[in-house]
Amino acid sequence: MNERKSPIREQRIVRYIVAVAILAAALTYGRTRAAPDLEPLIESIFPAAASTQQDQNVYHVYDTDDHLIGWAGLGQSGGYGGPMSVLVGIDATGTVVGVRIVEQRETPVFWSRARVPDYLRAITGSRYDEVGYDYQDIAAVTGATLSTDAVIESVRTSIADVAGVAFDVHMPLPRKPFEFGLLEIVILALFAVGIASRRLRGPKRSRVRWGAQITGLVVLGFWKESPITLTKITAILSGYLPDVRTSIAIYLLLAGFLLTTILYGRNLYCLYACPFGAAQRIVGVIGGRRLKLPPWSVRAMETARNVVVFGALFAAFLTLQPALAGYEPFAVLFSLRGTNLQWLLLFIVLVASLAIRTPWCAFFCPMRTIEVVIQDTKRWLRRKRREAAT
Amino acid sequence: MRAMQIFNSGFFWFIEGILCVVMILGLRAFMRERGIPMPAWKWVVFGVWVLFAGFTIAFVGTSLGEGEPTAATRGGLLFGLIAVIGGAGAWRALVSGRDPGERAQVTDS
Amino acid sequence: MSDSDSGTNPNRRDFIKIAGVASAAAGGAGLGMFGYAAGQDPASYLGWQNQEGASLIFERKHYEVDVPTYEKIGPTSRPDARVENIFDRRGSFMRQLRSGGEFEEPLKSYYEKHPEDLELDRLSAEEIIPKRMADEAEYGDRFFLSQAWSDAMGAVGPDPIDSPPEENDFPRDRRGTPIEPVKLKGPEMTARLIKKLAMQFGSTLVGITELNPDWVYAYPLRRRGFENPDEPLEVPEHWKYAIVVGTPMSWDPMYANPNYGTSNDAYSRSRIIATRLEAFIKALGYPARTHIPGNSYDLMVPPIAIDAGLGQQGRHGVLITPELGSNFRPAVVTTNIPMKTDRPIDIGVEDFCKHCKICAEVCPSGSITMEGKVEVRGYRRYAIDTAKCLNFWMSNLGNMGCRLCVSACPYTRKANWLHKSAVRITAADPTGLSDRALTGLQKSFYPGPDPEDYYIPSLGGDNASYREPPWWLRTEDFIDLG
Ligand code: SF4
Ligand code: SF4
Repeated sequence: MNERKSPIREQRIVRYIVAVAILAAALTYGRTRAAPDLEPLIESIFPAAASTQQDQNVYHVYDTDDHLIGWAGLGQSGGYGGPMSVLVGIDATGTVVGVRIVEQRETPVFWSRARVPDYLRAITGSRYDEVGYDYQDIAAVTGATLSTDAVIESVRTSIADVAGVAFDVHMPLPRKPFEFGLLEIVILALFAVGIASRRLRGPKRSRVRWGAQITGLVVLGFWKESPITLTKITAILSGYLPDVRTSIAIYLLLAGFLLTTILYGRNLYCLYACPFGAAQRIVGVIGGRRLKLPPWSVRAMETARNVVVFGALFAAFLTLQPALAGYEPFAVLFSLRGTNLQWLLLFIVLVASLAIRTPWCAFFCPMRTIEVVIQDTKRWLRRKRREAAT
Repeated sequence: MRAMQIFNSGFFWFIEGILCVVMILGLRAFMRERGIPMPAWKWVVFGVWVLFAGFTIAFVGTSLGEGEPTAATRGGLLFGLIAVIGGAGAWRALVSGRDPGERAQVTDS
Repeated sequence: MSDSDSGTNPNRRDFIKIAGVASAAAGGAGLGMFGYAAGQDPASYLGWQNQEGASLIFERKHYEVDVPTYEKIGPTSRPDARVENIFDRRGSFMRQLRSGGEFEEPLKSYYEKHPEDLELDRLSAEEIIPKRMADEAEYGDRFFLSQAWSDAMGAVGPDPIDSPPEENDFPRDRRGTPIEPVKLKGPEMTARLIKKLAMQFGSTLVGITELNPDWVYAYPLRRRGFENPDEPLEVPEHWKYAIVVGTPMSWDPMYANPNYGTSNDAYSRSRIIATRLEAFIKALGYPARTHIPGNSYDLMVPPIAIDAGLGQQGRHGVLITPELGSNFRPAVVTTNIPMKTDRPIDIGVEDFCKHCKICAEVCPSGSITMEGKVEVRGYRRYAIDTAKCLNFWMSNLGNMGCRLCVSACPYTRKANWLHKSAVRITAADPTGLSDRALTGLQKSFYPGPDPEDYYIPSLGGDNASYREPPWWLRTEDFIDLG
């Protein structure tokens, strides 16, 4: 099914274009929907608030006598599953009187674990220039680093904005250092190994690939839990770019995926780095994977996969909630987190891996859909070029 | 409810023991028929797998009895997954080492 | 290998094979049924009905250690219940708030040192209780049955003592003459007898220790009976030993905390047990005094229970026993009848709590720390914000209290094969790997509502409970609420 040699039909390309157009429309619609109404939130922080006046990200809050009673700052930062907006209320004396979360696009499971509301409660009552931004311990415990960081970032920017507008105090935001660690090195190494081993043949290449995949399983899977997910892709496509300084890994992985697909026709992420692919392959070796599926069923399941990916993207774009798209059961395998449905999916996929070759990649994985679209487009373009030449 | 208490009794484990012995005899007969040797390590593999599969079933039962359906579902899926994958591996290990000559002899008879 | 039985008799062979498969199926099904039976086994409740500790399945011998697992790091002092015991302080606060004017000592200087506690105490009076009352009128009906049940459970219990130790504790006959102590056949036999009797009186667990005076309140918490409750309390010499008894709360409602469970049932049982034990020791001619829940204590109980080998203290500040986890409500009898004491135990709770933190994640009021231990009166322990905790209690509909940290703690599981094996594994494993694995499994297998969902509606929640209440506490099924 991978080496489909028949000339690519125009019809498919048309279908891709239509799908992309619909998705783009959904995204545009999602983004143009009305911004969240801040009035009730401001009122819940300042019960006496009667009117507000906006000055970029800072709202001046007045009471019924038109006295200024405080400011509300809207701060934003990119979280794992989308942006995180926080409204910080600071009264005339400079005390933080309330913090509210405006929109939440985080995966719900992470949210409740991060216990961020606790942090918000803790900083309420501090002076704006004495608020602490250190909540490392919680982050370390819950593994939801990005979520918590996103909230803290948002609080920091909104306080800095209010400080500038209201008290004429410049509070510089700290420049985050690039976080280039073992994870990033491993990712680069895995792609390098993948490219280098294109020259190898037979058992040698297989051995190298095993080594790479097991490394990927341990590092990208169990240790750092950072495979490419549809949620992350959706977030980026929706314009919620994770901070490059702290999320180099996802950019490296996506770049590697796209480049190798375009250059070599096969993406080396799936072959050498993906931790879930490795898990399926190991199970496959145990089971012997001797089942051959009839071609019609393979085609049907591939179509089903494409439809599911399209549906997930459509829903996520329309609601602007990237977390909606993430149907993969990766988190269940690597840290036992997920919905009951994802638990069931993991069970089915890994049991199927005993008999079938990497069933997730073939029949479920969004990356495969993306890869096929790129391959088809590439082949079609090449044919066009050839036709133009003759 | 009282009837359930039979499963908490010594009698239940007595029956369970008998069933175990019959199961082992059945496996032995099956392997003999096919001429597959059963060295000690295979019995260990078999024993470990039976214990783990039994644990999985009992875990699901206990969780349901306690009124924890989520634990029953997820535990059943997680331990069940390990049991199925381990079972597939164990099965292939058990039927390995078949001697073709032996098989011919048995099927001839 | 052409042996006769498999070679010559295919019928018999087939039969054995089929029987083997059938046995495997029947055996598997049987295990499932066994599991189900074990899961709802009344014996695993280890409650009132299991007098004499018949189903205690933990052999403490294997886990005994020489020193208790808490750490002493500096000069110690006794706690001042008037400000450090949240119930006592809140009581005084409410009284003094109502009468107006300045706060009296020792409250005044305490609040000067701890303004955040004054704020929390005020918050309770000014905001939380009014909100609760409003919500009670609107949403309270659901909890009618559980409140009735809780009241009934609390209705039976001996009167608290109303005279000071020198008077109350010493046995007298009907005419008021002191009773001579009987001659006993050695501390070992006495300890055996006392423990057996405590079980007879209904205790699930019992342990004996020498009383460490650090655990006795500096001023009497139980004011009644003391001529001047604001005089410091001397630790009487005859409080040489402490016997710790107690029972679990009813399990099913306990899992339906914070609103359906109650402390009253176990409180009441522990009171009865301790009072019976006091009477029994006095009948032998020795002094004895009960220290019983809700607030008739002269001492802090959890550390004494640790000394007596009943368990260890968790992150949530509650005693964790190997049999019942955190679901244990103790009472104490102090006496000087010579007894062999028990040794403290170590079942690995200290290490487990370092990673687990489930109670801290669950706690709706953020009272349990995520951080490490701090020094309290010369000992290292996890900080508990009792004022926040009580504020959440005050906000709650249904039965008084919360106890979610008790319900959600992985140790708080009924005593069946599954959970007790887990306790044994963590206790035996020195690497900490099992701690992490079991914590991960606990979090994914036993999820509960988000902390915010437990709040009352006017605080943004929906009165969630950790688990559904048992059928007999569902008011709507029995009472026409109109
Ligand atoms: S009783 Fe409730 S509020 Fe108090 S510490 Fe435990 S979980 Fe928190
Ligand atoms: S919930 Fe976890 S951290 Fe809290 S007391 Fe229990 S074992 Fe310790």
